[in-house]
Amino acid sequence: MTDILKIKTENTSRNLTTTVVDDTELLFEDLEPGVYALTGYILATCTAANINLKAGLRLPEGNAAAARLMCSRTNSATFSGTNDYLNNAITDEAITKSFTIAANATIGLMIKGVVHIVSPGTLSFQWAQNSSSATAVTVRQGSWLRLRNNVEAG
Amino acid sequence: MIIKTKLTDTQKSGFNQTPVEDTDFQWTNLESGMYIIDGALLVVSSVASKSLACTIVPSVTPAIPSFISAHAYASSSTSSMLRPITNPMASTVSQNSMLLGNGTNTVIKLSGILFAPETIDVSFYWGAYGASGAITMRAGSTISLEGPF
Repeated sequence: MTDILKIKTENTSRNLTTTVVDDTELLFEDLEPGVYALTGYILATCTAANINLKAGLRLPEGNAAAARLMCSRTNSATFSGTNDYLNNAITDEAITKSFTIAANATIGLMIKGVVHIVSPGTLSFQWAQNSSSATAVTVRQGSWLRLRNNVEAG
Repeated sequence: MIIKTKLTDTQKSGFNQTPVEDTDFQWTNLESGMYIIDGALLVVSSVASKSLACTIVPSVTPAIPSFISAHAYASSSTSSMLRPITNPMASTVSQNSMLLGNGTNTVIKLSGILFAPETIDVSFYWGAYGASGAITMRAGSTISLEGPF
C-alpha cells in the first residue's frame, strides 16, 4: 500500500498575484498510474476581506477529468452557514475556484476525493490570491494532503 | 495513530450546556509535535433547533496556531464551523457550537491539526446547546489523533 503524506512545515504567504502556482510542500512528484484516495486539510488566512484564496488541485498533464473531489470550506468568521463547496472534477487545467476569507478569519478546506492517474507525473495543490492585493493570503503551517493507493488503474 | 471509539451511547440533556470532557475521547501523554485530527460522530437530537457544542481542548495552548473544523451532514441541512484550539476553550458556548439538523440523525466529520508544544493531554468536549431536550452521541462515533509528525 502506498501512503504519501505531505505536511506544510511553515506558513507561505503570497501577495500581488492571482496566478496560481504549486505549493512546493504540497505536491506529489512522479506519481505512478493508479487509483488513489485523496484526503487533506488546508488552512488559509488573510487580514483583509475581499482578497480570498484561489486554489485547487491540479493533475499531471494528460489526466483531464480523471479525479473527483469533495471540498468543504469551514470558516472561523461565522458560527455556521452554507460554507460548502463541492467540486465534481479536478483536471490538468487552470484553477479558478475562489474560497472566501473574511477579514482576520481562517478557513479550513476539508478534502476527500479519488484520483485516477493514467499519465504519470506531478499532482499539486496550487493557489494564489483571488484578487491581487498587497495584503497577503497565507496558507498555514500544518496544512496537509495524503494519497493512499492499493488499487491498480483499470 | 490513537483511535478512540465510543462503545455505548452517551446522552445529555439541558439548555445551552457548557461543553464538558467526554471520557471516551481522551488522549494522555502525547509527545510534542504535530497531530492530525480526524473523526466521524453520529449524533441524534430529540427536538428541533438543537445543536452540538464541541471542541478539542489540550492541556496547554499550542504555541503554533491549531484548528479544528467540523462539517455536519443532516437530512435537512448541512452546516460547518472552524475554531482555534486553545486552553481554556472559548468562554462563550456558541463559539464552540455547530448546528445539528432538526431532530434527525446527523453525521459530523471532524478534521484538524494540533501542535503539541510539549507532552500534553487532550480531551474532546461537547454539550447540548439550544432548545431544551436530549442529545445523544451514538456508539461507534470515532476520533483519531495521528502523529506526532
